[in-house]
Amino acid sequence: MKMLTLTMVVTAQVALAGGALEVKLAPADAAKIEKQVALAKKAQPAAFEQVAKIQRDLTVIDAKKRGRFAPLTTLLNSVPEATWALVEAIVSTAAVAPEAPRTAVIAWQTGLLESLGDRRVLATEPVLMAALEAATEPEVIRSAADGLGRLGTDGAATALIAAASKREGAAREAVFAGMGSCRRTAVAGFLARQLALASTDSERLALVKGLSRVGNEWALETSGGTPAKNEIPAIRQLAASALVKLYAESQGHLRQAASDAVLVINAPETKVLLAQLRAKDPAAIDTLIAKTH
Amino acid sequence: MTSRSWLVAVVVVVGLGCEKPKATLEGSTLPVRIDPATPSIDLRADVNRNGIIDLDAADDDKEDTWDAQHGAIFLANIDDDAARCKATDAQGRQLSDEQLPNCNDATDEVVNGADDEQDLAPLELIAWPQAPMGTTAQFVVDADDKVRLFRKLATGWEAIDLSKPLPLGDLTQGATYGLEGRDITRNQQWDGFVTVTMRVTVPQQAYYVPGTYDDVVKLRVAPVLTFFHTLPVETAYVSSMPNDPRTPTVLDPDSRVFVAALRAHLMTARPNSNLISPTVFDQWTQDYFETGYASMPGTNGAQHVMKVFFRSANIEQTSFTSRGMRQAGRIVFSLFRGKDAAGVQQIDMTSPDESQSLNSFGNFETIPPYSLGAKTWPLGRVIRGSIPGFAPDQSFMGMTESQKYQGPEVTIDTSWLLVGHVDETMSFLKASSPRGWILLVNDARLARQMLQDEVGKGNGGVHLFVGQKWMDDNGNETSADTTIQALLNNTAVMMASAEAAVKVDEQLAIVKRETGITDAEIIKVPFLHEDVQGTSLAHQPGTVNLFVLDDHNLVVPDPHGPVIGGKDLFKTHLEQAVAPFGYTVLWLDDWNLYHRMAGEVHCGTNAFRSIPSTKWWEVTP
Repeated sequence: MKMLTLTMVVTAQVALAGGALEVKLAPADAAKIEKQVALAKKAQPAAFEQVAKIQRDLTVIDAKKRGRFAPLTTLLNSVPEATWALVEAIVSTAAVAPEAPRTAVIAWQTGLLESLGDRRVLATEPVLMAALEAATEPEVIRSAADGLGRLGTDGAATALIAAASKREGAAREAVFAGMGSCRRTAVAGFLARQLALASTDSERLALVKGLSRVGNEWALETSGGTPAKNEIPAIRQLAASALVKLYAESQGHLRQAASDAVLVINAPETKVLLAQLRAKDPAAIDTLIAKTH
Repeated sequence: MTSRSWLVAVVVVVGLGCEKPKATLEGSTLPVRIDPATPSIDLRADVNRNGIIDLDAADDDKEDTWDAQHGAIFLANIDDDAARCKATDAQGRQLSDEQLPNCNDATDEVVNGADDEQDLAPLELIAWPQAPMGTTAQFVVDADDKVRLFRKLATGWEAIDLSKPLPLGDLTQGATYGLEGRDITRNQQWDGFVTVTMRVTVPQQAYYVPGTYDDVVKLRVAPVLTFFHTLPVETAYVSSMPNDPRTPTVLDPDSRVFVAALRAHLMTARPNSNLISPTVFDQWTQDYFETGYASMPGTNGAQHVMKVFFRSANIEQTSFTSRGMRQAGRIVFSLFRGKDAAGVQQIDMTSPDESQSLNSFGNFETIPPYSLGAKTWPLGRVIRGSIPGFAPDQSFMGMTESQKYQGPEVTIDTSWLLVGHVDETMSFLKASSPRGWILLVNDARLARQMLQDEVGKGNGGVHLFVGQKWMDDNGNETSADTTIQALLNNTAVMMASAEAAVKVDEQLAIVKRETGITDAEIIKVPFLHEDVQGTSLAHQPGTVNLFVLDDHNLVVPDPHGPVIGGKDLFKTHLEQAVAPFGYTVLWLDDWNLYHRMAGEVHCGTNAFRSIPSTKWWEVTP
């Protein structure tokens, strides 16, 4: 395993060009994780080899991609028992592929973080938190927030709210967009409050994305949607309320985004919430009521 | 024939005439007064669009105007009939992306053989044998940088220097000319029209009123038009994909299998069609070029057609610090450019990396012909994924919009998709209905419901994706096998699918508004999505991303769905949905090479289709 504790990156460009995320773990966490990785390497060597193989093929996979990024999350998700192989890759400081295009590096970093989060292994929480701290590119920040959010723990929710509060500009918006995978009341409430306070459309759109995901009806119905099943009604209500208000008070693409999110959440109280705001724009409110199931 | 008296700069005195000293009438000599005549200058073009110059009024009336009933047409002569253009220099090195497009039949001043001659719009100057000595004739062209005129000689053609008068013999004996467009319209700065004036200046003499006389002909360059799916395939294309760019001669085994299977389907369904499978390290055959055509009137009511291949306006990152045009797109010049075939590229190299995927031609489809209210699109209408702030290359869009006949483009939001292409969620099929076509559109809601219904029947444990693997095809693959219940319990899949259902509804609302299509003309195509980097991607093979061969045959990605009662649930659904419209589904396994790399059958194929019978010049854009 490579060194775990490193200095933070000087610039995003430097970190990205090497492809290493430059995470910084507390010494106690580093020791625990180092031990876990070592154990896993003995127990599941194939998983490490498979992840390493994907990394070696990264440039070719990137060249074959259709669209913005190669879908590495799906690829990495398919590697069984790869939790600690992913952790090792995330904390590694070795250059991923020094000459790889940015798209390859972004796909690699985001794929690792999302796949790790998707496994919902609580012991990886420090790694995902440190990755969120270390990430500098908006795509990677979003994926780190997404990955951490998938754990759904109190700690993840707290860390995500802290990260969003600490970051600024595009980085802050990336946290907003990614943290919707943490389907907890605290996160839904935070995003709803931020939406009321947001000053730019760009920020509002990121918050709509986050709210849409935190209250996503179909996701919440899965066993992994949230560890706090008792919070589901409140999560959906908080998200729907904020989005209905935005819908009633906005126009154009923002209103469209709010409408889409309201429908994705499909909260039981949506029609009531809309009816309460009907005076603001009766025609628009009626249109959305008609679409609501 | 148009004599422009308003341009005559002469003094005509009442009673002016001249007394010809002696004219012989039946042997007697009598003084005869002859009034000077007004010259009749007659430049003709194929105004009535029958492919030839007529000497009657048909090619003379309203020759200086242009509409759907009449007006002459010319081609941008950008093919390479004599195959003189190369993709490499004398040392065998690849020409740069800037150099590559700079060769075609319009980039020289010669007519490159009989085929090239066919690409010239004919013009005829009717003889005026009595033209007085000293008369001059000269072409005046208002958009002289857009066209080139040639003069036919006994030995061939010569380019005309528009700054100089024509030989007087052209006027006294008549002459044939040919006009070529030097390019297609690229933007709104040129509307595609050219006014060609034959200007004759008659000197002071006795027999004709001196002055300057014009005959004006208006012509329009042929637009480049793209194909829609209701036209049958003539030539299909699919990349033969090397396994690795570092070993270009070693083909990917999955590519070999895919190409062979596609060929088999094509030859069964359309035995007279062709399949071209160039070796290129880019399996996204749909994306790196787009087929189209330009046409002008031929004889006997035919269209004289030039194939046009657009290179995608994609910029790809070639390393961490460098970027360049998508290399596979060079094929429009290196392979396709030739006799009656042109390559075109139009790109803004400053366009942002983030939206490059939108420049792939999976994000450039053409809705089949339709009318909506008083508006009509007899040659179809382009549809693309584009929203403010996340849009395709604006210079390319400007070029296609400037063709006029298939615009304004319909734009829908594809920004929520990882790839961002219109062909990920919708496709068009021919149908025997008043509209003539139907829409196939993805419906994740239906997919989820179908699977939930099976759980209700006790089939939750039935497997999907049996025998399929996620992973790169270089080894270390892992099973994609899952069950209905597990799929329905996959948080990322359900989250992305819920979003996809709503976003596709939004797309559909736009298509309904822009085309007037109704629910009865829409077939829902079920498949679920997954979340990748905050965006959406087909998790099950996206069966809407299909390749239409003709009115009866569709090549569709194998969904590898749950087999219940001996039948794949998703195959059965699609087969039954399209059967009433006369279609047979030809299944094609695209999992390894396409599906797991974020594309499907349509993404991996391309086609040159039959030229529509509707002639663009007979309709109003």
